[in-house]
Amino acid sequence: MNEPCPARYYDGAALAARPVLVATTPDGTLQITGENIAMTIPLPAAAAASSRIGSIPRFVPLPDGGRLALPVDENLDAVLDRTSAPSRYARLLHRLESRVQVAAAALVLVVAIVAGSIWLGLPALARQLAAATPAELEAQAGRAAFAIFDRQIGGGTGLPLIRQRRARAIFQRMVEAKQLPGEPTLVFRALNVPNAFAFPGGIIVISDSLVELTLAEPGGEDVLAAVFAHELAHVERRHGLQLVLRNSAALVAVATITGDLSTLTAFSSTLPFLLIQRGYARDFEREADLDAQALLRKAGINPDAMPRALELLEKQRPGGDAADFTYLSTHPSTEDRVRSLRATK
Amino acid sequence: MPFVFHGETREFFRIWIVNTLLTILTLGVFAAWAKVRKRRYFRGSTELLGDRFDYTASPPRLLIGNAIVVTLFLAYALFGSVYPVVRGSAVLLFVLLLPWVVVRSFSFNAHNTLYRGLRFRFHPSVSAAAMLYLFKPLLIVATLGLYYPAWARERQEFVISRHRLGTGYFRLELKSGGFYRVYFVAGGMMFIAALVVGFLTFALTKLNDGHQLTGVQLLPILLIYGFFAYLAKHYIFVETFRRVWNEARLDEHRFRTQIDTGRWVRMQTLNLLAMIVTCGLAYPWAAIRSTRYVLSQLEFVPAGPIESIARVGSGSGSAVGDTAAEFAGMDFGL
Repeated sequence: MNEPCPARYYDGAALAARPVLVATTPDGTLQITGENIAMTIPLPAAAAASSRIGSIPRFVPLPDGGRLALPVDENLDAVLDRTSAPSRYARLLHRLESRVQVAAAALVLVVAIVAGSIWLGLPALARQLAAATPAELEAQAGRAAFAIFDRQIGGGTGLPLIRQRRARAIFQRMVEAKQLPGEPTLVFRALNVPNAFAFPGGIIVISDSLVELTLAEPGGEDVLAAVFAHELAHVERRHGLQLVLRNSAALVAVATITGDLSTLTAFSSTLPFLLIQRGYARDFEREADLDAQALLRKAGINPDAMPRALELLEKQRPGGDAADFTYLSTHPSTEDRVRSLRATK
Repeated sequence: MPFVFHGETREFFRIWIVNTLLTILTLGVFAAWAKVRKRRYFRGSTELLGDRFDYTASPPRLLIGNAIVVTLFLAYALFGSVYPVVRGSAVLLFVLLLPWVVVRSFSFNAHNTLYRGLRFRFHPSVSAAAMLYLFKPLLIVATLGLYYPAWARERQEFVISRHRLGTGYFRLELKSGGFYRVYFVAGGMMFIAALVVGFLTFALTKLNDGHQLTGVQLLPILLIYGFFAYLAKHYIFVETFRRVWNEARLDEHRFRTQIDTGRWVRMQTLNLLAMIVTCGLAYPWAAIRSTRYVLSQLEFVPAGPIESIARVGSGSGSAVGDTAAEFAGMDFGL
């Protein structure tokens, strides 16, 4: 017989409580003794005892309509648990809840899962929202972003008209092959480095040096076509919008809950900064590369022009600070891209 | 005779974090068990006159309630976007069902709470609930909100006066005057908030060269407004709590509280900051802390031996009554 444990007995007939002693016997009974109380209850009858949680009492309904409140007592718990079948999971749960190591591990896991879901979920939400944006709103956002961009770099181009005409002709050819719903426009700007940007709604900016660089090489027209095809892919897939959305969780949260995207234009002011400093994400570049190859094929140009464009730019990569702003550093992992483009041919 | 709270943050944090992980891993199914365990822990840690409270709700019952709410919400979201008429009728249905849901939730939780072996009861009356939750709110609208404090008082009386413990009846009779004072002050707080917000909006618009402010710029303003609303809500809570529990009765026994408004509002402000900084992980600490304070400020003042309160019905007859009450109740997890 175990050491009797002090408990509280409620007879269930009135709001009264009596202190009792509770013990278990080897022949499977619960013995309750107190002032004017002497009860013996076969343990299976105590099967409805509540499971242990924390250090609160365990309540046992008794056959006489009364109730017992049992404090924490390991022996009593062990005996009661043995006779109550459904409490196996409850017992496990209580064990898990009692160990510091389990709590610490649970804490780490919860934080990891929640943070991970947000990190993974945000791009998916950004894509959905970008797809749901009306074209006019997108164009408006793109125009606003371009205006800011132009203000920052100081507008104007130094490209000779002949080059401009040649480049525009190639651009037109790509636009006709692509058949986008809107009217993409090509803009030349004198940037220090060879680069090209696509703004939402179809404004595509290309630097003078990139045009010169590509047209100077033999077969350069195809390479320039590849660059245009790549930027047009960014436009079609609304990568600019997705980039803005991915970088402003606040906007995504508000837009998802309220369905209101009207503040998008204000947020698109971040786009030039994002494009210049960080460029698109890897997955966007990959999509644009593949789309560009498909478009080149459709237009009757050798799709190898795409990896060739990347290689050409890699060769021209200047050192020093300017390297951060080249086409390549804002369009990372050139080798991977070249390799995978050649492989999918 | 004070209430004593034995809950500990250390203990409850472990329970809560493990339950939260399981809820995430089961995509929310475990939430019913987590809720029951939390209520069992809090009620089981509450002691009065040497005895603790018991909570016997069965998690599957809660799960059914949860499932109903989730299903209705999904149906509303899915069909509502395609058929706007569904949206309107869903909202109408929700409003009409509210009294029934309220009564059922109180019944469920009362029936499943025990003290010294006796169950609490909530005496249901859907018609009284309908009057309170459907028709009286129309009065509030008709008086442009002036009726609201009186309605708040009526709601407190409704909730308290319909609870029973065995043969003991809870009673509450209050005057509206106190409520009007409380809501006047709370209204004053929101008025100041509106002034601050208005001024900030004006200042920011000026800085923005007169353009309309964007969502991002409005966000801090909304947060300030939300913070004032949070303060007002907790002010109302503590003032109401004090008035209610200084007047509430169980038969001829009374209660007493000296809860301090300033202390409570400061405590809740700190809780809010902690929750924000820890992204919600401070919840166990905040909950235990708040409950400990509230219960430390609550006293039961018996007018005589409370053993005179007996179980309703006798013998096995009450078992049937109990079961009926149990099936009558349902918790919707709201």
